[in-house]
Amino acid sequence: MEKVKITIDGVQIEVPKNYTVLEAAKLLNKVIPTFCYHEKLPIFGGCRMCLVYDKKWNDTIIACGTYVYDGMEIETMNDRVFDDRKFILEMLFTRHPLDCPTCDKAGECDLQNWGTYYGPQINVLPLTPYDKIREEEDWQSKYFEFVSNRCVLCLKCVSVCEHVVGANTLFQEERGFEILISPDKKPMDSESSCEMCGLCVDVCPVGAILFKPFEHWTRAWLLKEKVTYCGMCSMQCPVAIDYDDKKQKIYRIRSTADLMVCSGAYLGYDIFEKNRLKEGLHNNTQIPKISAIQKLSKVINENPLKTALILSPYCTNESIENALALAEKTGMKVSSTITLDLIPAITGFEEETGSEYVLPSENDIKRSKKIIVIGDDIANTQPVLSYIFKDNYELGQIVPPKDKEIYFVGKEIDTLEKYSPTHISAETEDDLLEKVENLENLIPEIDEDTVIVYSTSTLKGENAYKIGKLLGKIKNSTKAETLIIPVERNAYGLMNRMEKFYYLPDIFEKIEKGEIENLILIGEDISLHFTEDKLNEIFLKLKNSAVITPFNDGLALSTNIAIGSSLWAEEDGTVEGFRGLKQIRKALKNVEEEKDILKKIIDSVKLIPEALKNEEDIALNFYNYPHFEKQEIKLWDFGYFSTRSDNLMNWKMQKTIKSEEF
Amino acid sequence: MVKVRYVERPTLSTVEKIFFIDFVYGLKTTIRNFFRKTITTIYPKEKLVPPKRFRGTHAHRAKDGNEPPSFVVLAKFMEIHDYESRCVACYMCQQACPMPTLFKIEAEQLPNGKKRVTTFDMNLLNCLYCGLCVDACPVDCIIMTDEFENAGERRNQCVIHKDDMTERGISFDRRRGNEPDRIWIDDKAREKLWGQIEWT
Ligand code: SF4
Ligand code: SF4
Ligand code: SF4
Ligand code: SF4
Ligand code: SF4
Ligand code: FES
Repeated sequence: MEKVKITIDGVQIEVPKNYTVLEAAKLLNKVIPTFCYHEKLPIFGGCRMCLVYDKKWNDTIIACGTYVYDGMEIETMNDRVFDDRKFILEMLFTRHPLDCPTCDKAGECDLQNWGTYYGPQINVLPLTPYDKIREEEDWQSKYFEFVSNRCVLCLKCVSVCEHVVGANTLFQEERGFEILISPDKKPMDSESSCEMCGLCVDVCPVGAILFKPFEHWTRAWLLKEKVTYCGMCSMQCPVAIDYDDKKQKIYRIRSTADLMVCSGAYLGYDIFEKNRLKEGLHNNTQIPKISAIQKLSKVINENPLKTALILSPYCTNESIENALALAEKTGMKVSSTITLDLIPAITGFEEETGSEYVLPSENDIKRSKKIIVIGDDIANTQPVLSYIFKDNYELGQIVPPKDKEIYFVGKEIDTLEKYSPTHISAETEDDLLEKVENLENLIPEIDEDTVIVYSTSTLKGENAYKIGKLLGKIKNSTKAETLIIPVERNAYGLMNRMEKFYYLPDIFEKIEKGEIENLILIGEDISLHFTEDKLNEIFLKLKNSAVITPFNDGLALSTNIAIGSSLWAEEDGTVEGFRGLKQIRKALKNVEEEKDILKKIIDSVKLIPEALKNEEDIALNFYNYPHFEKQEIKLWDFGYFSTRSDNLMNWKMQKTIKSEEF
Repeated sequence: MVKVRYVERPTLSTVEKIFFIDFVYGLKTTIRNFFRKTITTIYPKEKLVPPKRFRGTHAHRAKDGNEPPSFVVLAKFMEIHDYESRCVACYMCQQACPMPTLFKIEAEQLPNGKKRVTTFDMNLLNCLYCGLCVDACPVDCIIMTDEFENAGERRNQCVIHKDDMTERGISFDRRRGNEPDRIWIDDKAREKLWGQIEWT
């Protein structure tokens, strides 16, 4: 890119020609107030708050929307700029109610901050607080509220919903000072296309859009913030957890400036409180955690070779390593639910391509021209992944290429409908496999600028293996990027660490034959993959069963021993997902971490000598098991966690009641 | 190293030395006040009413129709009945306080979406009586009253709560609401005692 020389406050700097004054000034760490500008949104230039002074033009210009030119001379602050900005604020304050004492945004509100900085303002119109009250717009939502008086008309909410989420829910009613922001259909929760990502709340520079579950409970400055990666799915979105350190309570989880968050984190922040198993359970009676651990160790010590350990792909790498060390020490048999979907698909893919599978990066997807979604609706399983399918903006500029072609091969489109993809219908699993086999005939010009996205929640067992092979074949002939993405946050971490493992149905067979008597579960993943009847049958056959789970209302009730463990915002560690190996940090500290529980179990079990372990060759054969159950993943389904979230479940209920009416 | 500065003693004349002139001179004030009327009070038998602006025990003004206009804008978000504390739990008083931990303020969202203040405690053992909280309150809710007898036998007697604060606020306003806002009520009497301030 051609570079130009400009001067900002007397400092010369060379920047690419397509930079705006604001971006150039940011390189020099100049603070320019903005309302309507966001790096990830197209430039709007409506609020005029970012005025700076152009010496050559002898006038103030908007920094966010003016491109640099050679020899430009800018002053980011002088008397004229100060007065102009102050005047803009005075105008905004003529209609602003100044109800900061009850406004949730207070303390993190741009208008409040800049108003103080450029204050005090003189009311340019003779208005009193009474006159300022204007028409309200009721969104009829349980989750979002619009306070028209506080809106500064920056339209970032409309923009984020259109350009980042793609849901196109919000739009403006009326014009000019009368603008009201409104969802496309009301009631918002059940009728509109809203995905409950909460991004409109996060980008709003003022308190005009509020998140109702958060409203009034606390004040922004009383909370501590922990920036980490969301643990509800494999997208590892950067999120900020706002929590009260003293009460050890999470008040909200919101996006960072990356604008990546979905309902899973935004609404699902409430999973940390309800139905938590903090201690241990033994045949449904509460016991201290330490005695539950002792009981479990006793079970393992009695017959380690007849014991199986099922790992959860939601565990952190540290947890997985401890669990594998436990299996190594005792000779337990290891398996996981990813042997049903992710491992077969990757095995098939690698067999075909002959090389190790590498995940395409976010940039590969952003810069691709064509996206083919195969199987489950990816906008349901990994909502944030679908945000980058559309046009993306960086530093206010669109990332080329514009207008991606999107195809969907699968049963029914749900949320992905927002991009109106070309739908290639595949009703059954066999149908899907057939369509994928003929993909190159069905979709023209699949090349290296194409990304094929497959969610491993689609198929299990043999079919998963088959589709992996087919995707590998397509990769070989077209060089298209292939994204095989599991829903579980650390499925890749588990796959990379687990070396000697059994296909999960094999474990079930062994239980039925009596070769395995004890089953130890980490997490409740199996309940999502098998029919309930089958699981009950298995539990009846077992002598002892144990589960390490954060909740007391699920498998903890069907097993003999249950040990309470941690959730994603309660553990430190690393996870591997879409964004690679990431360090996660905990916000809450009052729960014992899973890895520590596992460590305690390791310490209290006997070491089984190598010679006693009956080494058998594990032949991995991914067959179809008649008791598989396919989970229909919708926008409110996130592993076994989301059923514990009142917010997500209420939203689900509103949506499903609506669809049943038709 | 500490440096010590020596001050030379004043040299006294022989007369001054013999007749203790300076001593007698110093006793003059003592002797004069000895015959004046006492101005201290015999607390607790005798109690003064402090000026209206006295910074004594805190209170909450109630929602009684005399709220500032700012309250009207906030009231629609609040569930406050008449003659209840008009606090909106904005935490501004806590923010302004040099010792913020003496406040315990909590609010909740009612099913109808409105905000209700559930807790407002102040641990006055930690309070500096600086009055910054009063200045910070946007709805003229928290005030300091003329009550000053807030010692107790147990520490919990020194913590005040929303309800008793509201009661105190109502009683304060009833007793002294109409009084002109001056430092002392009987300024003239004090002027006699202490004289007038002279500005240059
Ligand atoms: S939007 Fe900002 S300035 Fe307006 S009431 Fe809320 S905190 Fe105050
Ligand atoms: S609601 Fe917020 S984000 Fe939307 S236009 Fe108003 S101020 Fe901007
Ligand atoms: S929550 Fe997300 S999808 Fe819903 S209106 Fe706001 S930005 Fe749009
Ligand atoms: S897409 Fe996944 S990782 Fe991202 S916010 Fe949603 S649930 Fe969390
Ligand atoms: S400043 Fe006033 S309204 Fe705000 S919390 Fe304190 S007493 Fe209540
Ligand atoms: S930020 Fe530049 S015009 Fe709004």
